[in-house]
Amino acid sequence: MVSADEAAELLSLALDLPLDALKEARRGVTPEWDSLHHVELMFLVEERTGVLLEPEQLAEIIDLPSLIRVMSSLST
Amino acid sequence: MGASPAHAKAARAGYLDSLSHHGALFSPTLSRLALRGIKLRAPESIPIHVVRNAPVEYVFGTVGPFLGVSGATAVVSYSAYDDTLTALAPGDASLIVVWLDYDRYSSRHDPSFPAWLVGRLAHLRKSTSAPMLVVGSDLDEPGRASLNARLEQLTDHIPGLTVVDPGVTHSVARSSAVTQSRLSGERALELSRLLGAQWIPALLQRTVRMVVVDLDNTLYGGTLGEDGLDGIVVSPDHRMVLGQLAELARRGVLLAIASKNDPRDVDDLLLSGALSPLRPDDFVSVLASWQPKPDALLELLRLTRLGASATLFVDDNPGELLAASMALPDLHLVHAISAVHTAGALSWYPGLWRPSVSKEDLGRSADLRANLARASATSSDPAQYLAELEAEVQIDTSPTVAVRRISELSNKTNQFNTNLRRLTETDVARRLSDPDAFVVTVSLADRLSDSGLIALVSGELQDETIVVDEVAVSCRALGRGVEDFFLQLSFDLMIERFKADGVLILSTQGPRNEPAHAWLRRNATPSGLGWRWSRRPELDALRSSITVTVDSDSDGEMGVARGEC
Repeated sequence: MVSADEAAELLSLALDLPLDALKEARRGVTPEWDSLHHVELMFLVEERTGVLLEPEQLAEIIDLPSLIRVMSSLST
Repeated sequence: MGASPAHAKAARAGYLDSLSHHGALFSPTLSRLALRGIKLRAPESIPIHVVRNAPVEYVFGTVGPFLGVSGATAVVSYSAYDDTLTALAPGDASLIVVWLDYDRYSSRHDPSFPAWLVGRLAHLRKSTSAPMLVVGSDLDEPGRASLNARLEQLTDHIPGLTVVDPGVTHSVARSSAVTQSRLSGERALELSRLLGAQWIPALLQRTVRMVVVDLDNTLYGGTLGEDGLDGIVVSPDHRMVLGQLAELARRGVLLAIASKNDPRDVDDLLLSGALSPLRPDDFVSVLASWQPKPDALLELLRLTRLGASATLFVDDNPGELLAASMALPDLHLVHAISAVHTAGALSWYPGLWRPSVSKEDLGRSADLRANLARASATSSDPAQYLAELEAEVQIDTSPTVAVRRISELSNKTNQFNTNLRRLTETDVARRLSDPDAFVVTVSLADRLSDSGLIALVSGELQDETIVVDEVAVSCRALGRGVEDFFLQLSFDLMIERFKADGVLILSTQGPRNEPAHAWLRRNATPSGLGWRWSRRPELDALRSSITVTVDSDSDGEMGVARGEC
């Protein structure tokens, strides 16, 4: 089971942003969350969970809550 | 030992910092999470510009930890996606990487495609003198390797350009729609390691020239002095390490042993074949004694005339590694925690990989042993000594086929290097095509060895004076008392060619080029911006003891000596 803290740490690592900046972070809006960093996030999530993300799941991840939701679905 | 307390303290910190990450860096399986957590002290910053036609940030993003092992960090800039390679490279880049996804070219199967690509690379070459690495990546194309091989052939005439084949790029089709890259995460990491541990160090000529190994619990399990020859255990993993060392020796890396053991026991071990496929003559030197390891390492560096920065020390004892790092802060270290770890390090330690192996690489170990034999020669008369050695000097005043080798010599010679000019292949090629400039090379052989191309003189004519901006002599040529002679002969030839009235030698004081300055003091006098060369007629007497040939269009048969010193 992936915790919210773990998801946040992965997002922080992928975007090179501090944890306290993640609450407002949104894909395509936050400058640091561009397509390149989204791929970096994908690689980190896949390594952490051992599951390859489907395109739909990648598209679903737009902020921290959605990341937590997707990662939780991978772990169950 | 030569290291100040502050330097030694910093080295100790760096040692602990670096070694703690080696497991993640040399592991058969790489982890992006682990790599992202590695922050090595890397005092040197290397600007790298990537010309690409596809996203490669996922590859370059994790290059840092691998480069960091050798104390460098990459500052990477990227071109726009550019299939036609029309953008010019920035002038301040130390390395240009051209990363091409062949799948993007609909004409990739066309027989004319390689020639078209060569034309684009030649265009790019004109914008920079920095080394260029071309990575032709093709995700599904079975002909990728042959296309890269063809490209390598066709670009042979372009100075400073190296083509590498990245191997199969495992495709992850599901992510391509989102990421525009079909690189899998795992393959991106593997390519990142190839870049940081092999390709970039090789192109920037940051090479490890010698590997010094401990014996007990490093090359085998057990302690030779206690367990005896029959009691040590060479596991399959150890055998893999021994095979890697043998292969490194075949590729021109010097091997040496520094072991706290009875030398008779070590002789027996080497002669027994227990370390097969390693052979006794794979080692340029075997120091088995009870002296401290730093003393043994210093002795090996003295014998080989190599710097610590070109030497990798492998030992299972962290205390020995720490002592070595404090005495020789620039020494590269591998902690032989296990044979598997050592095998990984020998595969991936930056500077061990070479893009190609020359016949001089293959003969380097024998050349070093010949140097040791020369050192024991006793004649005090230089002319007689050289006559006994049957010295042969070949001077090439138009070494057009040796561009890559000249650049290597310029970049790897630290001790006898007057100006530390560090000529790139492009610099060399330009000088050879400029009627007012020149590069002269010297090759040296004697009855003990063929040292190959061991010296260069580079410069140009300015107002009837020859201005020399580089004199570099490989350490492999020193110790025979012949360098003053062949450098004088080189200057004579250039004065004659240009009808010049003198030679001005530019110089720079570097951390290790005192031998070059000692030569300047013997053969020149300070004059404004440099040193005014003075001819020494007494050196002409050596001509009768040395076979000299002067060639203006050499076929390069005498080769090159590549030892950094």
